[in-house]
Parts: sequence; C-alpha cells; structure tokens
Amino acid sequence: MSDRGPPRLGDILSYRPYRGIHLGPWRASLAISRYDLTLIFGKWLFWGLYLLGLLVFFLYFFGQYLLVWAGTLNDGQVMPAGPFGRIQIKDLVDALRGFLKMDGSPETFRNFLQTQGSIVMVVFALAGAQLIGNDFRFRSFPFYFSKPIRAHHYLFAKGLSAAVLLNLLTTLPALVLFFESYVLGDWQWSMAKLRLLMGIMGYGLVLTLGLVPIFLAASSGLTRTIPIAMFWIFVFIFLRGVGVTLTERLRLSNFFKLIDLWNDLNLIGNRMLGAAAEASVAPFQPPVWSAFLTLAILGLASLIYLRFRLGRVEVVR
Amino acid sequence: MRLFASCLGSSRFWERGEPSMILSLKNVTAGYLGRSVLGPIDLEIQQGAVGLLGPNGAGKSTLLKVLLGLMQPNSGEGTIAGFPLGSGVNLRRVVGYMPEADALIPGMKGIDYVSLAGELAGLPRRDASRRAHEILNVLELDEARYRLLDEYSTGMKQRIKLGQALIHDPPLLFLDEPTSGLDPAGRDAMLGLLKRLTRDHHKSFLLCTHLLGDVERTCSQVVLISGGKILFRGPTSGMKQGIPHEFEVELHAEIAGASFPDGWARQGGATQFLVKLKQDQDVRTIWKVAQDIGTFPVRVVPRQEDLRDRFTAILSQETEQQSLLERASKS
Repeated sequence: MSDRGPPRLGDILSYRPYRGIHLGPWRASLAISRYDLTLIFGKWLFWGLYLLGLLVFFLYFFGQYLLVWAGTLNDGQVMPAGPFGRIQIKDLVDALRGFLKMDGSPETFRNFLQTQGSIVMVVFALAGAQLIGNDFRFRSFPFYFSKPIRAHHYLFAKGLSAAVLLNLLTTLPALVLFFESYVLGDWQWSMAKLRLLMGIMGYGLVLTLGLVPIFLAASSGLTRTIPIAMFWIFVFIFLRGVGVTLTERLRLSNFFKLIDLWNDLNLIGNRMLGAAAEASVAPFQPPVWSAFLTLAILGLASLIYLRFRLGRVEVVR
Repeated sequence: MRLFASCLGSSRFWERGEPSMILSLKNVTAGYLGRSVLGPIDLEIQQGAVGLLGPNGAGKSTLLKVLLGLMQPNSGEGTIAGFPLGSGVNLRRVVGYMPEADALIPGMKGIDYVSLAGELAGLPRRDASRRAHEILNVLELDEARYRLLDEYSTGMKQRIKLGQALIHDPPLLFLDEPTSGLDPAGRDAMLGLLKRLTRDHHKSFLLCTHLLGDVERTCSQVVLISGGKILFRGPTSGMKQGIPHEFEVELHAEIAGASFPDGWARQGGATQFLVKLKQDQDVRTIWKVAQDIGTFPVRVVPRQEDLRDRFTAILSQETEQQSLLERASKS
C-alpha cells in the first residue's frame, strides 16, 4: 500500500492534448441522431406509445399463430374461449382469415402498417418539438454549426432520428410478422413471398420519405408541441374528413382526395404490397401516380423550406 | 480531407510549444449582398490571449464568421492555426467557439452535451466521453455534469459552453462575451479560468467583449475594430500609451499670486488641483512645481485610467476623421 493513498479524481481527470483520430462529419450525424433518440426515449410518454404499438404487434403476431394452430384442428370442433364462452373452430378460422386478414397475406401487412401509422402520427406530433423544434426555439445552432458539420449533416441526423422512430413502429415489426408467417407456413420460398417482402420494405420507405420531410419542416416552423400537434390533426384528420366529404358524399372529382396525405401514402404503399392489397381499398381513389406526385411536391417543398430555415440561422450574433 | 491531413502534418506548432503566429489575415474583405462590412483588414496575431473590442456594428460578428469558416471572404487570404482561411468545415476542427447565446439543448445532461460536442468535432465516442469528463473536472463542474442543462445557473452555463469549445483540443478559441450575465464572483472565476487556459494549457483565444476590464485582466494583446476596419492592434499596455497622466493634487497652503504651469486646473477649493502631466514628465514634477511656488503637496492621488479612456479616445478620433473627410468630399 502506497503512503500517498489512492489517486484523487483530479489527478486522473486532467485536461490533456488530444492526439487521436478525427472522424468525418457523417459520423457526427449519427451521434446527433443517437442523442436525439436517447432524449426521446428518456420520456415515459414515448414508452407508453411504443407499448401501444407493441400491443397491436402482438395482436397480429398471436393472431397469425392462432390461425395456424386452428387450421390443425377439425372444422367441427368446439373450443373454450374464456369470457366468450365456446367458439366453433370454423368461425375462428373465418374471422382470422376473412375478416381480420391475419393470414400473412398482403392485406395483413397493409392493415398492420396502417394501424401502426396512426400511432406514428401521435409520436410525431409529440416528438417534433424535442427533435428539431427546440433547436430553433432555444437557439441551439451555434452549438452545432460551430463544429465541423454543415446544415445537410444536421438535417440528415434529424431525418435519421425521425426515420428510426417511424420504422421501429412500422417496418421492423412488419418484417418480424413476415418472418413469423414464413416460419409458420410451408417453408417454401417463392417469388410471391419475395414480392411481399420487398413490398413491406417499400411501404416503410414510402412512409419514411413521405412523412419525415413534412414532419421536420412542420416541427422546425412551429417549434412547440401544441402547434405541431394541431397541425398534425389538421393535416391527417381534418383534411382526411374534407377529402372524404368532397369525393364520397358530394361526388366531386377523385383528385380532391389527394388532400388526404395519409390516403396518398397508403395508396402508394398498397401498390408496393401488390394487387391484393390494392384491390380491396375503398373506391373514390385518385390514381396512384397523382398521390406520388403530390407527396413528391410536398416533400421537395418541405426540404426547400428546411434549407431556408437553416440558412437563416445565426451562429454568431 | 487531404488538405486537412497536410495542414495537420505541417503546422501543429502549438504542440511543439513554439510561440508562433496563430492568425494572419491579408487584405481580407467580407460583406453581404455585395455590400462590404468588413475590411480590407490586415491582421497578425501571436499566440496568446487577444481582446477584440469594438462598438455595435463594428464588424466583430462578421470577422468571427469569416474566422469560423461560416462565411467566405470576398477577397484576401490568411491562415488560422496553420489552416488557410475559407477552408470551411476543416477550419472548425482547429478552433473552438464559445457563443454568447446559451445554445444549450434542453433536456440534456451536462456531460452528454460536452460529449456530443466532441463527437461533432470528429472525436470517436469513447474519446469524446473521456475528454468530456476531463474538461468538466477542469471547469469544476463536478456533480453538476449529471444534472440537466435546464437547471444550470448562468455561471455553470458559461462554463459548460467553454467546455464544449475545448473538447477537441483546439489551439485557438473564439470567446464571445464569456462573462456576460455573471455576477462579480462568477466573472472573477471565469476570467481566472481563461488565464489558466493560456498559462497552463497554452491555449490562444480571441476574446470578444464589451467589458474592457475583462480584456485588461486576461489579454496581452488587443485589437480595436470599428466600421469594419482595425483602428488599433498591439499589446494591451500599448493601448494605454498616450493617455495623459492625471493626478488629483492638494497643496498645503494657498499661495497668493502664484502662477501654475499648463496642465494645472483648479478644482473645488483654492488648494485643490487636477494636474495633467505631459508624456515626458513624471510625478516628481508636481513636487517641483509646489516647491517653486513655496509650498508642498499634502495629497497626490493618481486618477484611475483604464482601457476605456483610450478606447473612447481612439473611437472619437476616428469619428472626427470621418466627419472631416465627409465634409471635405462634400465641399
């Protein structure tokens, strides 16, 4: 044992010259994104929303499993169903396959992604201020832009954070469901399955590219949670209602439904999933190309707005 | 990247501990929308602490933007810590900037804030985290590093901003009003930290402030800028040269009919004077004059003279010259 005793904190932690490596600015984007997600998942509210998403996922996961299990029983067999009394196996199979579409078909994933999309809307409405709005509100930009990164690195980082939030709720669990349906099925790989796998990832990509720029632009402009949530309600609930009224009630041109951005996203997503998912959507739909064009224009406008907003940021005042 | 590597290889003079030129600008101009607001300026600054003084609208912010690589100069050339001016992102690897605004991220802990700054500067995650702890130790933000930034006092905010500017070990720091909003004790602590940075860690910094006392206490050199032009550049002590030495003098007795040389102005009572000595005179002149008229001084108090006097004098000279030029051009 030394007479000097254990070293004091100050002896160990002293400021030293740095002689290590310097990584590129894209790695800095990953760091921003990581810290953003840490901040968001530091709040119980978001854990609650992701738990809700997990419940929907479990509904589909065990629904698919139940269908396969029920398929192994005799059609005429009756089974106990807890508080629902007794249920005919045939009715259960019909409900899971026909009504709930939990059979691993394109419609399964369409329904799942649309349901999860509603939770994504709530997550985005509440996360916008934390993710990018606060940087404008609290003038955090001198911190970022006095470092060796540019506006597009910052924007990429924020987009990546939003994409992770979105895909954790949509694409990732959908891929797990796809894998489950493959494992529970006949283990035969086919072009149809590959087409479905690509469709799921395509749907995720459409949601990401369609929603993230609009989300970032709205959050950077409105900055606070309440206005962002109101904007989100306006776009995805009010405009949806207006779109339905104009097309389905007043029987005006189907193009009026393009103002329903959520419908536009789903139209393109359904096309990705394949004919089965596309054919079963409601009538009064505009052509898919017009939905794509609408989202492309909005996405581009959002990016231009974001660039404009970041261009006006004063690092040195 | 190649440019960055070559610059690092050739000119990391700060690691060799040799006193050298930290900043050199030649004929640099900058402006917005075709309107020039800075320069042309020539500026060479040795390693050490430099004060940048100037009234509002003098061009300090524009100069800082150019030095940080956030704005391209319209013309001219220069180097900053061995890097060519206008090398943008790479320039910001060798400089640290402490902004005047809070620039904090709400909801983030102090340690995460400084670590993130390190990663933004290009440090790997582990290095950034380790250095963040080292720096916060130097800045005496002990347990406070685990608290949210929202809960920090003004003094702690200023220190954590200094920490994020230091994380990547830049040889040159730009400090924008580092004592803004601090109470006298906090200000003393911050200025002490800045002195330690130059003394113990051989950092150079450019201190932008309106508080001339801060420059007097921390900087060995000073640059005075106004109207986008450099009016004065040199040692802080040199800026005081040319200020007349002034003393408040009280004589033992009034001598009737005595005549006093130029620079002696009567104040209040008949035996009280304000004496302005010329450059070639020292305080013994006061005793000599008193002796010549048959008395002696009972109180000689030097008047407080500081950088403010010189700052004001230089600015008023500049204003006078400008108005003369304007009148001449009109006539």
